[in-house]
Amino acid sequence: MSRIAVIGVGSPFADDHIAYDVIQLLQQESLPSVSLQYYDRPGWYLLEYMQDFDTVHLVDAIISDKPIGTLHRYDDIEYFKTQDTLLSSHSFGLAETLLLGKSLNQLPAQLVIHGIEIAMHNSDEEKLKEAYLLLVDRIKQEIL
Amino acid sequence: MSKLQKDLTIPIIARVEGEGALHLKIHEGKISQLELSIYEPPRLFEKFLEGRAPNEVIDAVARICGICPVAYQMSAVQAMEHIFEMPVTPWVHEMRRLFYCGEWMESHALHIHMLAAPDFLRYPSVIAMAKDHPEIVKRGMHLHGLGLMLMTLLGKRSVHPVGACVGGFYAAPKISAVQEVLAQFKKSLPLAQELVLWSASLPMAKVTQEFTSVCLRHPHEYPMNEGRIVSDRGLDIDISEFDNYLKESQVPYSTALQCHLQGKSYLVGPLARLNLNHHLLPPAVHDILKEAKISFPTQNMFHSVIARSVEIYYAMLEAIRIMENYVYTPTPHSPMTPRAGVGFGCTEAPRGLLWHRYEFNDEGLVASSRIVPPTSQNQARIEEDLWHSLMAFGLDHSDDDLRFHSEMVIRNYDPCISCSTHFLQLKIDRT
Repeated sequence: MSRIAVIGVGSPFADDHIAYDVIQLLQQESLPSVSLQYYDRPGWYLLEYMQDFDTVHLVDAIISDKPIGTLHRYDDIEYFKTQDTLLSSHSFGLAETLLLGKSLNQLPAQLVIHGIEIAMHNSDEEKLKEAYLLLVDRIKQEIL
Repeated sequence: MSKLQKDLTIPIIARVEGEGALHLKIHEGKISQLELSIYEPPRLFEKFLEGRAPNEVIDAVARICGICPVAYQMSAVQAMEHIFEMPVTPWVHEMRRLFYCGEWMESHALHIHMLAAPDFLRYPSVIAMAKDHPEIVKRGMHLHGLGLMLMTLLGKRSVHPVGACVGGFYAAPKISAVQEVLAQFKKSLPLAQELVLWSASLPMAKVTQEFTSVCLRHPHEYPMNEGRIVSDRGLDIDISEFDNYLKESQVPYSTALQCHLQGKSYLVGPLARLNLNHHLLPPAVHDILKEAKISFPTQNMFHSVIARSVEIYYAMLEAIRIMENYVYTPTPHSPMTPRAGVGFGCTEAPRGLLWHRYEFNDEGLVASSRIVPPTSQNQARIEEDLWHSLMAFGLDHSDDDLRFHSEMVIRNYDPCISCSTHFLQLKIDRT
């Protein structure tokens, strides 16, 4: 039987808390045999948390050039780029962690990254709420 | 030396926390100007703390740094207990040491594997290095994880822990939880021994420099939470005298403050600690150093990576000692009675001496605070090292080579510019 996890990552503060909200909502659903986890900036230790699962859905906030609330979905971490050598121990984020996992052959067989576009300041709470409710539905459909 | 003239600017220092820049001017084959600019915005924490109650301070300062929150909490708690005239119980003394062991392991493991090892082995990043050396990276991640485990045991979580309070800890860990962590540490101890031997085998230049090491020294313990501030040039002062000898100042090209000891740069951090306290390490550490054919003190700055590995091994031994003797207590903290006064705290953060000064008012709230982080203290030393190292390396190398060498020198200090907490001087012209 495939071992499935949905893992939210990010700070519990400001709009970065959105992954925490998604996991909390999923915990209210009936999702037997799905592991629901949340980690506050786990860094490269995320690889350890993922290694017991065949399928992992990762949820994190994203800042790009899209409108607030836009949902992103990535099946391939080739989309993730880091700045050449710009890797301080503090700034070793999700993209670096996943690329490191690839180097170590330590990624789950199926990895889906779900992102929700947020803003650095003054997010639109309503749009964010709509977005994460939609994301909860999408994740449920994918894992059930 | 060629009659070379170059004006080399490295706009962003890669793999250094915050943002930094190095401006290097080379005139007729010699360095005519070298400026390390850090433009991390000021963090304003010293001002945030004003008006706060003692235990709010502990939670707030933990947020200055995501990697060394324990250090900020321990320096703050020491200063407040000094003001409130609170004795530290033997149980709390040991638990604070255990807490600190976790942070040293976590922070050092990150630096060694994410920053230092790729530099020494000539990889652009740990991601590239991991393809050729997966077991080394996995060992680093495992040791890092053990450090997080200790921080969580006492702090309830590893990111911005919340378990510490003035007088001790809010709760004592259950014996079963300690035993579980202890078993993991005992099983993993050989990994730390391997790490020391491996780090000593890394290809590194055999260059020495003149520098002054500064750290805490305790009569009986390898320093973490207590001690006097000492140097290898005769300094031996109480932590309350810090300001009389170690002066912070601003340079026009950088927002980060620099710190000097009687007008000269100095080194804080693991290498300084080992240089001044190696005699306090247990026999097991001396045995592994002998096997690695490394001895301290040393004036080779690149031996910092070995010092970090040695401190991971020491922290594991120390953690095992403390956990083997662990006794549960129903009173994990002493009662606190806030009062007005001035107090000082100084502990050994992973990156070096972390000094706090607090003044409390009659209401038991912070009237003023000052925080001097280790990176600020190492700034002037980094510039001096760059000057020396680049001259030794040779200035007629390509710009890319000079850039890589400069970055390697800077990263060797594990600088954490986000720890620069000071409010900057402000000049306003009004017309």
